Amino acid sequence: MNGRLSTVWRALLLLFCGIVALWLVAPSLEQ
Amino acid sequence: MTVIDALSGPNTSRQAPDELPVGARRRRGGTVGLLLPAVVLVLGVFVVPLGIMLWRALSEPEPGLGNFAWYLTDPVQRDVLARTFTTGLIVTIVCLVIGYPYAYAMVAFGPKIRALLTMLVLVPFWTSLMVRTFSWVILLADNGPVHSVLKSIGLGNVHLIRTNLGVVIGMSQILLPFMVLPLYAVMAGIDRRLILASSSLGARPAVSFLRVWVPLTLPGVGAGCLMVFISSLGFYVTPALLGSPDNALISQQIYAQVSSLLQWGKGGAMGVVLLVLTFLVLAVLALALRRANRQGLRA
Repeated sequence: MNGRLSTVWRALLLLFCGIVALWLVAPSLEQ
Repeated sequence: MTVIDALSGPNTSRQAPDELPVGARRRRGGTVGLLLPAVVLVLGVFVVPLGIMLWRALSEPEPGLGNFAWYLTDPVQRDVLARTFTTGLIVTIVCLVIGYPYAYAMVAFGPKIRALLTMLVLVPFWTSLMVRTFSWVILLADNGPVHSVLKSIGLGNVHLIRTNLGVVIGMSQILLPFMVLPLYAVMAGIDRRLILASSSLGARPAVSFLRVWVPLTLPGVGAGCLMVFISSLGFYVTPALLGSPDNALISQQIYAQVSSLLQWGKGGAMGVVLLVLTFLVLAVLALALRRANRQGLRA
């Protein structure tokens, strides 16, 4: 949070957001 | 010069001091005039229909509380009501579990990733609810993309369409922005130096997160949960398309009463009960939040 999130946490958070983003846009992509 | 002054023309600003009450009165008249369209709209499309619904619930087919007695004693309807609240609760929890880290990522990463994440969370708003739900029907169908992926990784035949799980997946996806956006708004306003201060006082990152960050985000959590839960109680399209008649929610039952069975009284009673229960949930949450705030002040 103070700009010192460890690399592992950053990578995990990004991966998580990627999966959520895919889930969010899935119905729009389906069209 | 206020907007009302500007709207009421040049006369207002040229009034002599002894005419001020007239000007003030005119200004108040202007305020009422500005409010009037909104008040008429709310009365016309909200209060009057609600009144008609209540009247029909109490008067059709015969005057009295028969419709309410029927609704509250019918075991099938009680099941549907319980299922509606359980589904709402599950959807709220799913949205919170997914939305909290997502909103956190929006404030934790740089502006480019934040812009991307914001855009992605807004994508669902760009397509209509109906179209998105039909897309979920295709995605979750047996032998659809999701089914095939689950089969190929060895999870066997997982049925998603016409199940409660399918309804929860669709509703959570549709309601997630309503969780993420209030959370992000609250998180963006938190002074990050508080985290620095707590770590300089010896708190480990996990402790700073749990004891400083999380409590500061609670207003956003409350607002998001309330929005998602209340919206999920009245969901119709998604459970109708992704669920089955066996696990219908209350909105489908109301639709069936009003549209197929033409029982306006029963449908009205169900609507009134749903409204009252929703208000009760709101009241309980408001009381809990007030108590939490008071305890927070005392601590």
